[in-house]
Amino acid sequence: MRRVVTGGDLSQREVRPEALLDRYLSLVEADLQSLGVLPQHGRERPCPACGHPGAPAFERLGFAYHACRDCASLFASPLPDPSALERYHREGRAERYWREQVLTATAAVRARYTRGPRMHWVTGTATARLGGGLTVCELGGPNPLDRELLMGSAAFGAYVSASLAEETPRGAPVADVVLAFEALERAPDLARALQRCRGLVRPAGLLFVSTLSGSGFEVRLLGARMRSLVPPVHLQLLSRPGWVAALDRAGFTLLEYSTPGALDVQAVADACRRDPNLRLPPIVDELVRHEDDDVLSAFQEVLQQAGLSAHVQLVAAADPAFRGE
Amino acid sequence: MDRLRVGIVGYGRIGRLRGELVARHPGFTLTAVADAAGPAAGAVPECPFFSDPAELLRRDLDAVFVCTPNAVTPDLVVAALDAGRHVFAEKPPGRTLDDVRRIRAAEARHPGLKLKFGFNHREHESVRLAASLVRSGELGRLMWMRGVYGKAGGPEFARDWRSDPAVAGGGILLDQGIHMLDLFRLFGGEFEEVKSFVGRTFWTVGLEDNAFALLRGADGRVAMLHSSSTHWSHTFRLEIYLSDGYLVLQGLLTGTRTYGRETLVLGRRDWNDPDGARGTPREERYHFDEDRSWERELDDFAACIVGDQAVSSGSSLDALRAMELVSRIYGDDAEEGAR
Repeated sequence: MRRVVTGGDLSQREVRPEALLDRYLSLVEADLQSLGVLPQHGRERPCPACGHPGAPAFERLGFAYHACRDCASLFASPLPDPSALERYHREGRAERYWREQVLTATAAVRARYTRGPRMHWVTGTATARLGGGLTVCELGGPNPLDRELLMGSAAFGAYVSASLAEETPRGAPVADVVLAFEALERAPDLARALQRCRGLVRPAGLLFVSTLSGSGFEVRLLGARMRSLVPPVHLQLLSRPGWVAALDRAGFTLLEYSTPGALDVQAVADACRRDPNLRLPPIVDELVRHEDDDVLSAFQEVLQQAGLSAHVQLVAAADPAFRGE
Repeated sequence: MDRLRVGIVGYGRIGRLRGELVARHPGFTLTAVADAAGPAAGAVPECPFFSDPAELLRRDLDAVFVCTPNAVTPDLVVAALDAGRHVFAEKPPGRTLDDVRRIRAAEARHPGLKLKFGFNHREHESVRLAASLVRSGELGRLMWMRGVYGKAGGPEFARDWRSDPAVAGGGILLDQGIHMLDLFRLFGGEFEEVKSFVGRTFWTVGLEDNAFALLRGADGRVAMLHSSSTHWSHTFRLEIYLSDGYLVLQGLLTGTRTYGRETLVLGRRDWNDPDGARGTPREERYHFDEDRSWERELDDFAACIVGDQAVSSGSSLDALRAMELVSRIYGDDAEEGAR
């Protein structure tokens, strides 16, 4: 098992500009109302990672989040009607605003801190384990890697794009490597989405995932106040044990679990500044608002090393012996 | 496929470790063990035990692991090959270059047999990832390397067989520095020029306790080695600088966990990036929690035997080239060469 820790000076304000995020969140709230996305008396669901029941944790933007009693993953329950969710992603102004305004305004910083390092992570890992000339399949997400860059790497010889929603024809794995960046948290049926991934990747091939963590510092301290937590997008935030269980059920073995997120400490400090009613344990408050930048960096690095930053990236290998549940 | 029947000669700390791995490996079965010193207390294997390695070689075996001190390794490797056994031997492959040449001559007499040496550092996670990154070419051309491999010595150091000149044949360079030389070759290929200082600075055992060496390849690649048994804090650090980036391997997961957390730092030369331009590029640090290097060596050895493939990692040629560098480092320092 390995973990990745990153250095650098990514700033919360650069990647999540306050004014743009405010506008985006107001559009999310409006879409939830106008498109009828808010869950109405739906059926409670068990933990999508391990199947155990959850207990209410907090409510955000009209969605109830539960914490699994076994693996501590967080998940929205009940879920909205699937057609309403689809409508939200297809017609909603918020998601369009995210794609057209937020991602455009932050493209340079995301290229430097997210897409570039992610590209190196994928090519380096895939080459080390599988060699070169591989077929890569990218599942639709909001911030895909650059197809031309992928094809420019010796790691990859062919590119396939796919959607989580499609059915995989039996016996037809198409890829050596499947990329699911910011995709699986959106799936109303996580088990099915992972089965879809398993169906796409050949035995011993690799699945790369990036998503929000259910054990991250930011969500554990802020809960409903976590501004980057958007319910129709983040239907589940798995913990590490949750990922192990979910991947195992789908026929994958976890190879790497890293939380290279760089913004937890800044995000929590900003939340404290915005909301005077937010009370943290005094020592945590002192740490996140420490005047010495080196202390803040060191604290963030500790979170990364402990697997407790908000953003997860993981690699899993498709178990060749898996025959399905 | 039947399991390969394995005998182990030399049942000290390393031999027992190999024995445990062999016993767990699906391709091997531990069939016999030999050690001239007899079985250590509490370390008796569940298979026949011999105090004479020749008796072990008369058993019905497919392969022999030679886990003995340097002075006896070459004779045992040659005897095992001549007895028709595949051989896995610990590094170093002996005390001198002639030892390796003798081994290679025996290997040449038995072209159907496999011979592999335990340069296990090649199989550490950090090394494998670094090698893959260097091979991919995405970090550009390799320019130079700097490797430090340091041992703390300790109160038992002088009593260890590794500190006996007659048994070991060399000091820290031959015992541990050879791993770093092997890694230099893995990443940078062959080196033509060698400059060195080899010193006896603290220990009075009659062997070097520090070796400093500069190696240069035909195309100007330079590697700098410091191998030490006066480091007081166990240290492993290998820096690899390429035209478009760098890799720093720091720490090494070992059985004792005393070389620190195994980490690979990856940085890139990007002068369009403000941080890169001011000399503080963004870095990615990979931490590794698992060492499967020994298991991988066994997997590779088994695969070579079963698939009748040539040994490509840890071959006798790798051992010869590493020993040539050791020999030249000793030889370049006139003072050490004269001893």
